[in-house]
Amino acid sequence: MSEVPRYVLIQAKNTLKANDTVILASGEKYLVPRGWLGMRLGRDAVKVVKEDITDLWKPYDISIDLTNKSLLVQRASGFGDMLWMSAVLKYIKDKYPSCRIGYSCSFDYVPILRLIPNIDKVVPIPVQASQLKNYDYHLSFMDSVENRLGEETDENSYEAFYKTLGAADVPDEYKRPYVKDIAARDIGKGPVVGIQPLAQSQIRDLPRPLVIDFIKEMNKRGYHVIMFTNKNEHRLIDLRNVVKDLNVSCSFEYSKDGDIYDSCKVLKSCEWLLTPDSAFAHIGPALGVKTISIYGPFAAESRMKYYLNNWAIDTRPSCRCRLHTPGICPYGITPSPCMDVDFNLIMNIIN
Amino acid sequence: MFITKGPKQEKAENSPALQKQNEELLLRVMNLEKIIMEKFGMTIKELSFRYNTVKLDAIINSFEHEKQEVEIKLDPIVVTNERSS
Repeated sequence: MSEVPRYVLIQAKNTLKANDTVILASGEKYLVPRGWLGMRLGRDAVKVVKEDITDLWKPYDISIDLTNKSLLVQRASGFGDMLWMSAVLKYIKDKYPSCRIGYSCSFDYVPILRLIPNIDKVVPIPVQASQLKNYDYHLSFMDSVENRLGEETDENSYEAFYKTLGAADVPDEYKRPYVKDIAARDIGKGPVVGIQPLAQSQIRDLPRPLVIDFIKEMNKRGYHVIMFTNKNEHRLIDLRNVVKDLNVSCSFEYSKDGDIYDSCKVLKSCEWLLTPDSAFAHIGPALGVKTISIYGPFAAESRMKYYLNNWAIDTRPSCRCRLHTPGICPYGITPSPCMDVDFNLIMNIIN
Repeated sequence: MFITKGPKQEKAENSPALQKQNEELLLRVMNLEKIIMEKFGMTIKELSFRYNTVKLDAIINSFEHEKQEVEIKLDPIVVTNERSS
């Protein structure tokens, strides 16, 4: 049986907006991850009503028949994590086609859900407490991959999710991401390849020399290179300056307001994608783009063991840390030495 | 990320004594930063980056690591479900 997530019930003291969207309405009660208190939500802006939400949460496992029932699935954050969940949602929906699935994640990850099928309703976090009553069951994947201290093992993430769901003997086809069928967008620059130079956490960034060598080599082979990255990423300023004389552009140049959905249309037109262990390492294979992904801090098989269209280079460092949160390598070295891959290894795959 | 502030703090909390305490705390932090920057040859930018991303104990540990000779061995392999043509 899945567990009750570590959420607290809060009451908003004031109305809170982000980009004109109301996140908290004054006086309303919401469920938020405990970690949001004092971090995302000032303790003086909300009042904690209840520390334990056990009586509000009806845990689900796959043995419960969902025919004509509704289920709220929750995993709060991580762009890649949203892609992982796509497989689990497909598994549930294929087993119980008449069920209605609500998906709950932090409001800032909602844009990527446009890509993911089998979601009937998006329920952004903070979740209005009254919304829980709209679902027969609730399913949280909060501590499935990492434990409460944020530590991970080399266990495949999909297998960890199915353990939480209580599903055994799940076919391999449900252990890879699924996205909606989207049309490729031709940017009118001839053959293109993509690269995601920066991960969400700097510890998994591609080393700068590798990025430059890749762009130069692909330019030499007649490809235009698109860098897939967030428009507001400050590390990009320096990188763009270094590559300004090369045949390269950024994905957000082809999208409205840096929408990730538009970036995915551009990605679909790419022949190859080079990426670290980050969102596009999952989106690329799901879109059928031949993807080379580089893994250092985490084992490749913990992510892409069942993927198609994917070649992962796992550097298997002696210091494998399995860390997200320190931001940089625990040895204080940037870029992380474990991401330092021989460029020829990448080109051998492409050749 | 966003942090909100509620209504203004009560008057008692804005007392000169509390303000003085805050100023003293700030001075102590600034001194500590100065010592760390000098000892490890860091800029304020590098230091704030570590503050923002690493817990205090991890910061201290990362300095310990830097004192040692770091030898990281890599053993790269290619993992794929695709057949080579």
